[in-house]
Amino acid sequence: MSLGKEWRTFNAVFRRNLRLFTSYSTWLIATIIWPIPLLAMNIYQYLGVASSRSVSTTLSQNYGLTLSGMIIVGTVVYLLYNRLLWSTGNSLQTERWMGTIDVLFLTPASRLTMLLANGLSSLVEGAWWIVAIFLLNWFIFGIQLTVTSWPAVAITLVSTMIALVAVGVFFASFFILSRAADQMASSLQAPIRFFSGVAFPVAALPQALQFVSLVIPVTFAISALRATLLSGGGIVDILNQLLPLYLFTAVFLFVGYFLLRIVEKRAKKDGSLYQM
Amino acid sequence: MRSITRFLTVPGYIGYSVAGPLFALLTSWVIGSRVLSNVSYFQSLTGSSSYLTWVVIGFAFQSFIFSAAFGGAQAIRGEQEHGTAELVFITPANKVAWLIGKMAADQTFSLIGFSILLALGGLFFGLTLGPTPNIPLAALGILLTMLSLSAFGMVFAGITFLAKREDQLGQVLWPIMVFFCGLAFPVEALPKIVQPISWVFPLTYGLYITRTALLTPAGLVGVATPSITWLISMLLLETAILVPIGIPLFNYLSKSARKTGALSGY
Repeated sequence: MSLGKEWRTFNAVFRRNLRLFTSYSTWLIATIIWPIPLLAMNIYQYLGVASSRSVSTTLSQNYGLTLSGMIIVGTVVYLLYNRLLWSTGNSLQTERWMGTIDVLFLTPASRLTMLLANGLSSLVEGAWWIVAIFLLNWFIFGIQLTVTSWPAVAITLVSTMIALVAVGVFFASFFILSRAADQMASSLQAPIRFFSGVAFPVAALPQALQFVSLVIPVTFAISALRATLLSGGGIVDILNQLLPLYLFTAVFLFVGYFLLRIVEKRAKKDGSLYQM
Repeated sequence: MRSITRFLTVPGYIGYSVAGPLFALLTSWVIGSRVLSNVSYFQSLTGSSSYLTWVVIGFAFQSFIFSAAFGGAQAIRGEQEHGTAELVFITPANKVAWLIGKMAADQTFSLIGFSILLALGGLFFGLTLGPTPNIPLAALGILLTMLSLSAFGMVFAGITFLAKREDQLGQVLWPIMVFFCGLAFPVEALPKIVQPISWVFPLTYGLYITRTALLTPAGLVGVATPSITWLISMLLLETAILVPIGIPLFNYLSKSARKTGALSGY
C-alpha cells in the first residue's frame, strides 16, 4: 500500500464530491434549509403536547436535561448520521447509477479509500449543520452550554464522525447487493432516530428496547456529546461512551472492508456490478 | 402495473413504506406517554382525549406525503438513472397519463400503508374511534387530500427536469410538512404568526377532516374546530387550483426539457 497513491485517490474523490455538491443549486439550498424544519419538528413534538414549563421541569427533574440542549445534540448527530450513511454507503450505488462503477472497480485504487473520501467530503455539509443548529438554538432559546473541556468536545465530535463513516462503509456492500440503496438507507433512518435517543433520552424507552439502543453507535455518540456539551463532562466522564464507539468503528470498518472485497469478487465473476 | 410488480418483488419495499411512519408514531408514544405524563395542554388545544389516537391518524397520512407529493419526481428520476427517460418521453404515449400511472401505483401502496398504520394503531397504541365514526367523510377527506397532493406532486415532478437533485428538496419538504400540517402535534400549538402557513397545505385540511370524521362526537370536545363544510370547500378549492396548474406545468417543463436535451441529465 502506497500512502502517496492512497492520498491521490482520496484527494481526487474528495474534490470531485465537493464539485458535485456545489454544482447542484437544489442540493445547496436543501443543505442550508434542512436543519431548520427538522429542529422545529423535534422541538414541537414536545411543545405541541405539553406547556414549555411542564416540559422543562419534567426533562430537568427526570433526566437532567434541557429540551433545547437535548434536541440540539440529537438533531446534529442525526443529520450527520444521515449524511454520512448516504454519502458513504450509497456512494457505490451512485457510481452504478452514473454508469461508472465498472470502470471504477477496474482501477487499482483502494475501494476503502474511495468510501472514506466519499464520507469525509460530506462533512463540509455536516460542519454547516453543526454551526446552523447551534446558532438557531442560541437565537431562539438562548441555549447555555456547560463545557469544562473543549478538547473532550472536539474528540467526541471527531470520534462520532469517524464512527458514522465506518457505519457507511459497512452498509456500502449491502446497498450494492440489494440494489435498493435508497430504500434501505431510508428504512434505517427512522429506527435509528427512535432507538438512539435523538428526540428523547434513551432512558425513557422500555428496558427491553434499551438493549437495542446499545447496538447502535449513534446512541453512544449522542450520549457522549450531551455529556461534554451540556453537563460539563470531561474525557474521563465519557470513556464509557467513547470506548464502545471506537469498538463499533473498528468492527464496522473491518467487516465493511472484507464485505466489500467479497462483493467485488462476486460481482466481477458474474458481471452484475452494473445491473440496477 | 410495472411499478406495482417492482414494488412487490424488491425486498423491503412494503416494510419501507410503513417503517417510517411507524417509528415516528413510536417516537410520539415515548414522548407523550413515557416522558411527558401530563398532556392536558394537548387536550385543551385539540379537544381530543387520546393523544395517541390523534397522532396515529396523523402519521398514517405520512405515506401519502411521500407517494403523492414526491412519487412523481422519484418516478422521473428513476427513469433518468436507469437511462430510459429519453425513451419514455419521446414515445407518443401521453406523459401525464404515464405520470399518473406511476403515482397511482405509489398511492396504492400508501393506502395499504395507511391501513396498516391504523390497524397497528388499534392493536398496539389504543386507537379509539368515536362512537359513530363517519367513514364516508373520512374517506372523502383522504381522497381529496391524495388528489390535491398529487397535483402538487405533478408540479414537483416537472421541477425535476430543472432541479436535477429534487430528492434533496424532498428531504427538506418532508419535515416542513410534518411541522406545519399537524401530523405530530396540533397546528394550534405553533406560534400564531406561522399558523397561516399551515393552511396553505392541503394535508392540513385533510387531517382535520379525517380526525373530525373519525373522532367526533365524543373525541373532539370543548374546542372550536373549523366547520367540516369550510374544510371540504377549502380542500376542493386547493385541488381545483393545483390540478390545472400541475398538469400544464408538468407538460410545459417536460417539453422544455425535451427541447434543451435535459430529459436524461441528472
